[in-house]
Amino acid sequence: MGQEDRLNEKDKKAPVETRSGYLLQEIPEIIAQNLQDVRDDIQKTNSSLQLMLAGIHKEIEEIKKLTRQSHDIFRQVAGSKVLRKHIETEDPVDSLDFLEVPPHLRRTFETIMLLKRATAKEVADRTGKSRPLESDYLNQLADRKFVVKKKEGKHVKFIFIRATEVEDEDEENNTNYNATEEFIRMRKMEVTNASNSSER
Amino acid sequence: MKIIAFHSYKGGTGKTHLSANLATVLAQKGFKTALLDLDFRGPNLQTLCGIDANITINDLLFDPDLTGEDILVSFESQYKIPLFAAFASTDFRKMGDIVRADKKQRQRSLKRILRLRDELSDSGFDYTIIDTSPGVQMESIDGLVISDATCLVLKADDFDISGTKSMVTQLYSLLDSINYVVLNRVVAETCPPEHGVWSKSDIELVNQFEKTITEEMRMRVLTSIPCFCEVAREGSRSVFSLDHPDHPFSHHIKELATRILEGF
Ligand SMILES: Nc1ncnc2c1ncn2[C@@H]1O[C@H](COP(=O)(O)OP(=O)(O)OP(=O)(O)O)[C@@H](O)[C@H]1O
Ligand SMILES: [Mg+2]
Repeated sequence: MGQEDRLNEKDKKAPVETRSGYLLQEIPEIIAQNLQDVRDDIQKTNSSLQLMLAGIHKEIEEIKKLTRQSHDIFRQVAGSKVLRKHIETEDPVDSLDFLEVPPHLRRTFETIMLLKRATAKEVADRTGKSRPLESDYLNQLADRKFVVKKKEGKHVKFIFIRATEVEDEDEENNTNYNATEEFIRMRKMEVTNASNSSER
Repeated sequence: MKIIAFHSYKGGTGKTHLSANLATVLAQKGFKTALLDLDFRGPNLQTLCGIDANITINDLLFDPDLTGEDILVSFESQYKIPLFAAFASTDFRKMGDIVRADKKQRQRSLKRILRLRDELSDSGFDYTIIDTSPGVQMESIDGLVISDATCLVLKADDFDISGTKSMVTQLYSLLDSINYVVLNRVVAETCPPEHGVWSKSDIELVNQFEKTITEEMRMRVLTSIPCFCEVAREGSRSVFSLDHPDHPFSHHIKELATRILEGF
Protein backbone atom coordinates (compact mmCIF):
# COMPACT_ATOMS: atom_id res chain seq x y z
CA MET A 1 0.00 0.00 0.00
CA GLY A 2 2.30 2.73 1.01
CA GLN A 3 2.21 4.93 -2.01
CA GLU A 4 -1.45 4.38 -2.77
CA ASP A 5 -2.52 5.05 0.77
CA ARG A 6 -0.63 8.30 0.81
CA LEU A 7 -2.24 9.30 -2.43
CA ASN A 8 -5.64 8.50 -0.97
CA GLU A 9 -4.90 10.65 2.08
CA LYS A 10 -3.94 13.47 -0.23
CA ASP A 11 -7.16 12.99 -2.15
CA LYS A 12 -9.19 13.19 1.07
CA LYS A 13 -7.68 16.44 2.24
CA ALA A 14 -7.22 18.28 -0.96
CA PRO A 15 -3.98 20.28 -0.61
CA VAL A 16 -4.84 23.93 -1.41
CA GLU A 17 -2.08 26.31 -2.14
CA THR A 18 -2.64 29.87 -0.86
CA ARG A 19 -1.63 32.99 -2.66
CA SER A 20 1.34 33.48 -0.33
CA GLY A 21 2.66 30.09 -1.38
CA TYR A 22 1.88 28.27 1.89
CA LEU A 23 -0.48 25.36 2.04
CA LEU A 24 -3.76 26.23 3.70
CA GLN A 25 -3.24 23.56 6.33
CA GLU A 26 0.00 25.16 7.47
CA ILE A 27 -1.60 28.58 8.27
CA PRO A 28 -2.77 28.00 11.92
CA GLU A 29 0.68 26.84 12.86
CA ILE A 30 2.25 29.89 11.24
CA ILE A 31 -0.15 32.23 13.03
CA ALA A 32 0.59 30.57 16.32
CA GLN A 33 4.30 30.97 15.66
CA ASN A 34 3.85 34.64 14.78
CA LEU A 35 1.84 35.30 17.89
CA GLN A 36 4.56 33.73 19.94
CA ASP A 37 7.15 35.96 18.23
CA VAL A 38 5.07 39.08 18.94
CA ARG A 39 4.66 38.01 22.52
CA ASP A 40 8.43 37.55 22.82
CA ASP A 41 9.05 40.96 21.29
CA ILE A 42 6.60 42.64 23.65
CA GLN A 43 8.27 40.94 26.54
CA LYS A 44 11.68 42.13 25.38
CA THR A 45 10.41 45.73 24.90
CA ASN A 46 8.76 45.59 28.25
CA SER A 47 11.86 44.58 30.10
CA SER A 48 14.01 47.14 28.29
CA LEU A 49 11.36 49.78 29.05
CA GLN A 50 11.45 48.75 32.65
CA LEU A 51 15.22 49.06 32.67
CA MET A 52 14.92 52.55 31.16
CA LEU A 53 12.29 53.57 33.69
CA ALA A 54 14.44 52.31 36.51
CA GLY A 55 17.28 54.43 35.13
CA ILE A 56 15.03 57.51 34.91
CA HIS A 57 13.77 56.88 38.40
CA LYS A 58 17.31 56.66 39.69
CA GLU A 59 18.20 59.95 38.01
CA ILE A 60 15.13 61.65 39.42
CA GLU A 61 16.06 60.44 42.87
CA GLU A 62 19.51 61.90 42.28
CA ILE A 63 18.03 65.26 41.17
CA LYS A 64 15.77 65.31 44.21
CA LYS A 65 18.72 64.68 46.48
CA LEU A 66 20.78 67.44 44.83
CA THR A 67 17.87 69.89 44.97
CA ARG A 68 17.38 69.14 48.64
CA GLN A 69 21.09 69.75 49.20
CA SER A 70 21.16 73.05 47.32
CA HIS A 71 17.95 74.03 49.08
CA ASP A 72 19.73 73.51 52.38
CA ILE A 73 22.77 75.46 51.21
CA PHE A 74 20.55 78.34 49.99
CA ARG A 75 18.73 78.32 53.29
CA GLN A 76 21.98 78.37 55.20
CA VAL A 77 23.39 81.24 53.17
CA ALA A 78 20.18 83.25 53.26
CA GLY A 79 19.41 82.71 56.90
CA SER A 80 22.86 82.70 58.39
CA LYS A 81 25.24 85.50 59.18
CA VAL A 82 27.37 84.74 56.12
CA LEU A 83 25.64 87.20 53.79
CA ARG A 84 24.90 89.75 56.48
CA LYS A 85 28.50 89.77 57.62
CA HIS A 86 29.52 90.32 54.04
CA ILE A 87 27.20 93.30 53.77
CA GLU A 88 28.34 94.73 57.06
CA THR A 89 32.01 94.57 56.26
CA GLU A 90 31.50 96.71 53.19
CA ASP A 91 32.91 100.19 53.71
CA PRO A 92 30.39 102.75 54.97
CA VAL A 93 30.01 105.92 52.91
CA ASP A 94 30.30 109.39 54.36
CA SER A 95 29.90 112.75 52.68
CA LEU A 96 33.47 112.71 51.36
CA ASP A 97 32.79 109.42 49.57
CA PHE A 98 29.54 110.92 48.38
CA LEU A 99 31.52 113.71 46.72
CA GLU A 100 33.50 111.09 44.78
CA VAL A 101 30.28 109.88 43.15
CA PRO A 102 29.80 111.61 39.77
CA PRO A 103 27.30 114.47 40.14
CA HIS A 104 24.72 112.95 37.76
CA LEU A 105 24.47 109.85 39.99
CA ARG A 106 24.23 111.62 43.33
CA ARG A 107 20.47 112.05 43.51
CA THR A 108 20.00 108.36 42.68
CA PHE A 109 22.72 107.45 45.16
CA GLU A 110 21.06 109.41 47.99
CA THR A 111 17.70 107.90 47.22
CA ILE A 112 18.83 104.28 47.15
CA MET A 113 20.94 104.87 50.24
CA LEU A 114 17.85 106.06 52.12
CA LEU A 115 15.49 103.44 50.66
CA LYS A 116 18.12 100.67 51.02
CA ARG A 117 16.27 98.44 48.51
CA ALA A 118 14.08 99.60 45.68
CA THR A 119 13.15 99.08 42.06
CA ALA A 120 14.15 101.63 39.42
CA LYS A 121 10.50 102.70 39.37
CA GLU A 122 10.47 103.38 43.12
CA VAL A 123 13.65 105.42 42.81
CA ALA A 124 12.24 107.31 39.82
CA ASP A 125 9.11 108.14 41.81
CA ARG A 126 11.32 109.84 44.38
CA THR A 127 13.73 111.63 42.09
CA GLY A 128 11.18 112.70 39.51
CA LYS A 129 13.36 111.33 36.71
CA SER A 130 12.25 108.66 34.24
CA ARG A 131 12.34 104.97 35.14
CA PRO A 132 14.73 103.95 32.30
CA LEU A 133 17.13 106.74 33.28
CA GLU A 134 17.09 105.69 36.94
CA SER A 135 17.57 102.09 35.86
CA ASP A 136 20.67 103.14 33.94
CA TYR A 137 21.96 105.21 36.90
CA LEU A 138 21.35 102.33 39.31
CA ASN A 139 23.28 100.02 37.02
CA GLN A 140 26.13 102.52 37.03
CA LEU A 141 26.02 102.44 40.84
CA ALA A 142 26.07 98.64 40.66
CA ASP A 143 29.21 98.85 38.50
CA ARG A 144 30.73 101.00 41.23
CA LYS A 145 29.81 98.38 43.85
CA PHE A 146 27.47 100.61 45.83
CA VAL A 147 24.40 98.49 45.05
CA VAL A 148 23.67 94.94 43.92
CA LYS A 149 20.89 93.82 41.61
CA LYS A 150 18.47 91.11 42.64
CA LYS A 151 15.57 89.60 40.75
CA GLU A 152 12.44 89.39 42.86
CA GLY A 153 9.58 87.82 40.96
CA LYS A 154 8.99 90.03 37.95
CA HIS A 155 10.95 92.95 39.37
CA VAL A 156 14.61 93.81 39.68
CA LYS A 157 15.44 95.26 43.08
CA PHE A 158 18.55 97.30 43.71
CA ILE A 159 20.02 96.91 47.18
CA PHE A 160 22.36 99.42 48.77
CA ILE A 161 25.14 97.22 50.16
CA ARG A 162 27.37 99.70 51.91
CA ALA A 163 27.15 99.23 55.73
CA THR A 164 23.51 99.31 56.63
CA GLU A 165 22.39 100.73 59.94
CA VAL A 166 22.04 98.39 62.89
CA GLU A 167 18.35 99.07 63.34
CA ASP A 168 17.68 98.12 59.73
CA GLU A 169 19.14 94.63 59.86
CA ASP A 170 16.17 92.68 61.14
CA GLU A 171 13.88 94.08 58.53
CA GLU A 172 16.50 93.17 55.95
CA ASN A 173 16.55 89.57 57.10
CA ASN A 174 12.80 89.13 56.98
CA THR A 175 12.21 90.36 53.50
CA ASN A 176 15.46 89.72 51.75
CA TYR A 177 15.29 86.13 50.69
CA ASN A 178 11.65 85.50 49.85
CA ALA A 179 12.64 85.30 46.22
CA THR A 180 15.16 82.50 46.85
CA GLU A 181 12.68 80.53 48.94
CA GLU A 182 10.06 80.92 46.28
CA PHE A 183 12.47 79.78 43.56
CA ILE A 184 13.40 76.66 45.49
CA ARG A 185 9.75 75.85 46.21
CA MET A 186 8.95 76.07 42.49
CA ARG A 187 11.92 73.89 41.55
CA LYS A 188 10.91 71.28 44.10
CA MET A 189 7.39 71.20 42.72
CA GLU A 190 8.63 70.78 39.16
CA VAL A 191 10.83 67.85 40.15
CA THR A 192 8.02 66.18 42.09
CA ASN A 193 5.64 66.54 39.16
CA ALA A 194 8.22 65.12 36.76
CA SER A 195 8.90 62.06 38.92
CA ASN A 196 5.21 61.38 39.57
CA SER A 197 4.32 61.36 35.88
CA SER A 198 7.22 59.07 34.96
CA GLU A 199 6.33 56.55 37.69
CA ARG A 200 2.82 56.19 36.38
CA MET B 1 13.09 124.21 49.09
CA LYS B 2 16.52 125.74 48.58
CA ILE B 3 19.43 125.27 50.95
CA ILE B 4 22.10 127.88 51.53
CA ALA B 5 25.23 127.04 53.52
CA PHE B 6 27.73 129.43 55.07
CA HIS B 7 31.25 128.10 55.26
CA SER B 8 34.81 129.37 55.60
CA TYR B 9 38.37 128.18 55.62
CA LYS B 10 39.25 129.76 58.96
CA GLY B 11 37.06 130.58 61.95
CA GLY B 12 35.52 133.89 63.02
CA THR B 13 34.68 135.19 59.56
CA GLY B 14 31.00 135.85 60.35
CA LYS B 15 29.26 132.62 59.21
CA THR B 16 27.05 132.44 62.27
CA HIS B 17 26.04 136.10 62.08
CA LEU B 18 25.40 136.00 58.38
CA SER B 19 23.38 132.77 58.48
CA ALA B 20 21.20 133.88 61.39
CA ASN B 21 20.60 137.30 59.87
CA LEU B 22 19.93 135.93 56.40
CA ALA B 23 17.42 133.44 57.83
CA THR B 24 15.71 136.30 59.67
CA VAL B 25 15.55 138.49 56.57
CA LEU B 26 14.11 135.63 54.48
CA ALA B 27 11.48 134.93 57.14
CA GLN B 28 10.69 138.65 57.28
CA LYS B 29 10.04 138.44 53.54
CA GLY B 30 7.45 135.78 54.39
CA PHE B 31 9.43 132.70 53.41
CA LYS B 32 9.15 129.71 55.74
CA THR B 33 12.79 129.41 56.78
CA ALA B 34 14.80 126.93 58.84
CA LEU B 35 18.16 127.77 60.36
CA LEU B 36 20.36 124.73 61.10
CA ASP B 37 23.44 124.82 63.25
CA LEU B 38 25.86 122.25 61.88
CA ASP B 39 28.79 123.84 63.70
CA PHE B 40 29.04 120.96 66.17
CA ARG B 41 32.61 121.86 67.07
CA GLY B 42 31.90 125.34 68.41
CA PRO B 43 28.20 126.12 68.26
CA ASN B 44 26.95 129.59 69.14
CA LEU B 45 23.56 129.89 67.49
CA GLN B 46 21.85 129.01 70.79
CA THR B 47 23.44 132.02 72.45
CA LEU B 48 22.75 134.20 69.43
CA CYS B 49 19.06 133.24 69.45
CA GLY B 50 18.78 133.33 73.24
CA ILE B 51 17.71 129.68 73.35
CA ASP B 52 18.47 126.77 75.63
CA ALA B 53 17.54 123.86 73.39
CA ASN B 54 16.39 120.60 74.94
CA ILE B 55 16.76 118.37 71.91
CA THR B 56 19.45 119.21 69.41
CA ILE B 57 20.63 118.09 65.99
CA ASN B 58 23.26 116.02 67.85
CA ASP B 59 20.43 113.94 69.31
CA LEU B 60 18.87 113.53 65.89
CA LEU B 61 22.15 112.17 64.51
CA PHE B 62 22.37 109.48 67.18
CA ASP B 63 18.74 108.68 67.97
CA PRO B 64 16.81 107.09 65.07
CA ASP B 65 13.46 107.78 66.73
CA LEU B 66 13.82 111.55 66.54
CA THR B 67 12.51 113.59 63.62
CA GLY B 68 12.88 117.18 62.47
CA GLU B 69 9.74 118.09 64.38
CA ASP B 70 11.40 117.12 67.67
CA ILE B 71 14.37 119.40 67.19
CA LEU B 72 12.91 122.47 65.48
CA VAL B 73 12.33 125.53 67.66
CA SER B 74 9.72 127.97 66.37
CA PHE B 75 10.16 131.73 66.53
CA GLU B 76 6.79 132.35 64.93
CA SER B 77 4.97 133.59 68.01
CA GLN B 78 7.97 135.47 69.37
CA TYR B 79 8.88 137.44 66.23
CA LYS B 80 5.76 136.99 64.10
CA ILE B 81 7.80 135.62 61.21
CA PRO B 82 7.93 132.01 59.90
CA LEU B 83 11.39 131.38 61.34
CA PHE B 84 12.46 128.03 62.79
CA ALA B 85 15.81 126.79 64.01
CA ALA B 86 17.52 123.59 65.09
CA PHE B 87 20.61 123.84 67.21
CA ALA B 88 23.87 122.05 67.86
CA SER B 89 24.44 120.89 71.40
CA THR B 90 26.79 122.73 73.73
CA ASP B 91 26.96 119.67 75.99
CA PHE B 92 30.59 118.60 76.19
CA ARG B 93 29.82 114.86 75.96
CA LYS B 94 27.52 115.25 72.98
CA MET B 95 30.14 117.37 71.23
CA GLY B 96 32.63 114.64 72.06
CA ASP B 97 30.39 112.02 70.45
CA ILE B 98 30.59 114.00 67.21
CA VAL B 99 34.37 114.25 67.37
CA ARG B 100 34.67 110.54 68.15
CA ALA B 101 32.24 109.33 65.50
CA ASP B 102 33.55 106.44 63.39
CA LYS B 103 32.81 106.03 59.72
CA LYS B 104 29.69 104.00 60.37
CA GLN B 105 28.28 106.78 62.52
CA ARG B 106 29.27 109.34 59.90
CA GLN B 107 27.26 107.42 57.34
CA ARG B 108 24.34 107.36 59.76
CA SER B 109 24.72 111.13 60.29
CA LEU B 110 24.72 111.78 56.57
CA LYS B 111 21.56 109.72 56.15
CA ARG B 112 19.82 111.51 59.01
CA ILE B 113 20.79 114.89 57.57
CA LEU B 114 19.42 113.82 54.18
CA ARG B 115 16.20 112.69 55.89
CA LEU B 116 15.97 115.98 57.78
CA ARG B 117 16.31 117.82 54.47
CA ASP B 118 13.49 115.75 52.94
CA GLU B 119 11.35 116.31 56.02
CA LEU B 120 11.84 120.08 55.90
CA SER B 121 11.07 120.11 52.21
CA ASP B 122 7.90 118.06 52.77
CA SER B 123 6.82 120.41 55.56
CA GLY B 124 6.74 123.30 53.12
CA PHE B 125 9.92 125.13 54.06
CA ASP B 126 11.04 127.56 51.37
CA TYR B 127 14.63 127.98 52.56
CA THR B 128 17.05 126.26 54.89
CA ILE B 129 20.14 128.14 56.03
CA ILE B 130 23.07 126.15 57.34
CA ASP B 131 25.83 127.39 59.63
CA THR B 132 28.94 125.19 59.53
CA SER B 133 32.30 124.71 61.22
CA PRO B 134 35.26 126.25 59.40
CA GLY B 135 37.60 124.11 57.31
CA VAL B 136 37.20 120.52 56.24
CA GLN B 137 35.09 119.08 59.05
CA MET B 138 32.97 116.09 58.12
CA GLU B 139 29.79 117.65 59.53
CA SER B 140 30.40 120.79 57.50
CA ILE B 141 30.77 118.67 54.39
CA ASP B 142 27.48 116.95 55.28
CA GLY B 143 25.94 120.41 55.14
CA LEU B 144 27.70 121.40 51.93
CA VAL B 145 26.66 118.30 49.98
CA ILE B 146 22.97 119.03 50.54
CA SER B 147 23.25 122.73 49.71
CA ASP B 148 22.05 124.48 46.58
CA ALA B 149 24.21 127.51 47.26
CA THR B 150 27.39 127.81 49.30
CA CYS B 151 28.66 131.12 50.61
CA LEU B 152 32.35 131.09 51.42
CA VAL B 153 32.70 133.87 53.96
CA LEU B 154 36.00 135.73 53.93
CA LYS B 155 36.91 138.13 56.67
CA ALA B 156 38.27 140.87 54.50
CA ASP B 157 40.66 142.34 57.04
CA ASP B 158 42.62 139.14 57.41
CA PHE B 159 42.45 135.94 55.45
CA ASP B 160 44.67 133.25 54.02
CA ILE B 161 44.37 133.45 50.24
CA SER B 162 46.45 130.36 49.43
CA GLY B 163 44.84 128.17 52.11
CA THR B 164 41.36 129.21 51.12
CA LYS B 165 42.20 128.79 47.47
CA SER B 166 43.36 125.20 47.84
CA MET B 167 40.21 124.30 49.81
CA VAL B 168 38.08 125.97 47.17
CA THR B 169 39.74 124.34 44.18
CA GLN B 170 39.71 120.89 45.76
CA LEU B 171 36.55 120.69 47.83
CA TYR B 172 34.25 123.21 46.18
CA SER B 173 34.90 121.87 42.71
CA LEU B 174 33.21 118.63 43.84
CA LEU B 175 30.08 120.34 45.13
CA ASP B 176 26.89 120.58 43.12
CA SER B 177 25.99 123.93 44.64
CA ILE B 178 26.40 127.42 43.21
CA ASN B 179 29.43 128.70 45.08
CA TYR B 180 29.83 132.35 46.06
CA VAL B 181 32.23 134.41 48.06
CA VAL B 182 30.85 136.83 50.63
CA LEU B 183 33.32 139.40 51.88
CA ASN B 184 32.61 140.36 55.47
CA ARG B 185 34.01 142.96 57.82
CA VAL B 186 35.34 144.96 54.89
CA VAL B 187 37.34 147.95 56.09
CA ALA B 188 37.68 150.86 53.69
CA GLU B 189 39.17 154.31 54.30
CA THR B 190 36.14 155.62 56.15
CA CYS B 191 35.36 153.11 58.85
CA PRO B 192 32.54 152.63 59.49
CA PRO B 193 31.09 154.04 56.24
CA GLU B 194 28.79 156.96 56.87
CA HIS B 195 25.18 155.75 57.12
CA GLY B 196 26.53 152.42 55.94
CA VAL B 197 27.21 153.84 52.49
CA TRP B 198 30.70 153.84 51.09
CA SER B 199 32.19 156.93 49.50
CA LYS B 200 33.22 156.90 45.84
CA SER B 201 36.86 156.24 46.63
CA ASP B 202 35.90 153.52 49.07
CA ILE B 203 33.74 151.86 46.45
CA GLU B 204 36.71 151.84 44.09
CA LEU B 205 38.81 150.17 46.78
CA VAL B 206 36.12 147.57 47.48
CA ASN B 207 35.64 146.89 43.77
CA GLN B 208 39.39 146.40 43.36
CA PHE B 209 39.40 143.97 46.26
CA GLU B 210 36.41 142.05 44.86
CA LYS B 211 38.18 141.83 41.50
CA THR B 212 41.30 140.36 43.08
CA ILE B 213 39.25 137.79 44.98
CA THR B 214 37.23 136.84 41.91
CA GLU B 215 40.41 136.26 39.92
CA GLU B 216 42.13 134.33 42.69
CA MET B 217 39.21 132.13 43.70
CA ARG B 218 37.45 131.93 40.34
CA MET B 219 34.23 132.47 42.25
CA ARG B 220 31.72 135.25 42.10
CA VAL B 221 31.83 137.75 44.96
CA LEU B 222 28.20 138.13 45.93
CA THR B 223 28.54 141.15 48.16
CA SER B 224 30.90 143.00 50.46
CA ILE B 225 29.64 143.74 53.95
CA PRO B 226 31.37 146.51 55.85
CA CYS B 227 32.73 146.14 59.34
CA PHE B 228 30.23 147.74 61.71
CA CYS B 229 31.21 148.48 65.28
CA GLU B 230 27.58 148.10 66.39
CA VAL B 231 27.53 144.57 65.09
CA ALA B 232 30.78 143.73 66.85
CA ARG B 233 29.57 145.47 70.00
CA GLU B 234 26.38 143.45 70.21
CA GLY B 235 28.62 140.42 69.74
CA SER B 236 26.98 137.01 69.76
CA ARG B 237 24.09 137.89 72.02
CA SER B 238 21.37 138.60 69.47
CA VAL B 239 20.35 138.45 65.85
CA PHE B 240 21.20 141.94 64.73
CA SER B 241 18.61 142.43 61.97
CA LEU B 242 15.80 141.41 64.30
CA ASP B 243 16.60 144.20 66.70
CA HIS B 244 17.84 146.74 64.13
CA PRO B 245 15.94 146.13 60.92
CA ASP B 246 16.83 149.59 59.58
CA HIS B 247 20.54 149.48 60.32
CA PRO B 248 22.82 149.47 57.23
CA PHE B 249 24.10 146.02 58.23
CA SER B 250 20.51 144.74 57.92
CA HIS B 251 20.25 146.41 54.50
CA HIS B 252 23.38 144.61 53.42
CA ILE B 253 21.86 141.32 54.54
CA LYS B 254 18.72 142.11 52.52
CA GLU B 255 20.95 142.81 49.53
CA LEU B 256 22.69 139.48 50.13
CA ALA B 257 19.29 137.74 50.25
CA THR B 258 18.18 139.33 46.99
CA ARG B 259 21.35 138.28 45.17
CA ILE B 260 21.22 134.73 46.44
CA LEU B 261 17.57 134.35 45.45
CA GLU B 262 18.35 135.81 42.00
CA GLY B 263 20.95 133.06 41.56
CA PHE B 264 18.39 130.24 41.82
N1 LIG C 1 30.02 142.85 59.51
C1 LIG C 1 30.54 142.81 60.74
N2 LIG C 1 30.98 143.90 61.36
C2 LIG C 1 31.52 143.83 62.58
N3 LIG C 1 31.65 142.73 63.27
C3 LIG C 1 31.23 141.59 62.73
C4 LIG C 1 30.64 141.55 61.43
N4 LIG C 1 30.32 140.29 61.14
C5 LIG C 1 30.68 139.56 62.21
N5 LIG C 1 31.22 140.32 63.16
C6 LIG C 1 31.79 139.88 64.45
O1 LIG C 1 32.77 138.88 64.16
C7 LIG C 1 32.79 137.90 65.17
C8 LIG C 1 32.72 136.54 64.53
O2 LIG C 1 31.48 136.37 63.92
P1 LIG C 1 30.79 134.96 63.87
O3 LIG C 1 30.73 134.34 65.19
O4 LIG C 1 29.54 135.12 63.11
O5 LIG C 1 31.88 134.21 62.97
P2 LIG C 1 31.91 132.65 62.60
O6 LIG C 1 32.47 132.56 61.24
O7 LIG C 1 30.62 132.04 62.84
O8 LIG C 1 32.96 132.12 63.65
P3 LIG C 1 33.27 130.57 63.99
O9 LIG C 1 34.11 130.09 62.84
O10 LIG C 1 34.04 130.64 65.25
O11 LIG C 1 31.98 129.90 64.10
C9 LIG C 1 31.63 138.19 66.07
O12 LIG C 1 32.08 138.73 67.26
C10 LIG C 1 30.78 139.19 65.34
O13 LIG C 1 30.18 140.11 66.20
MG1 LIG D 1 30.08 130.35 64.02
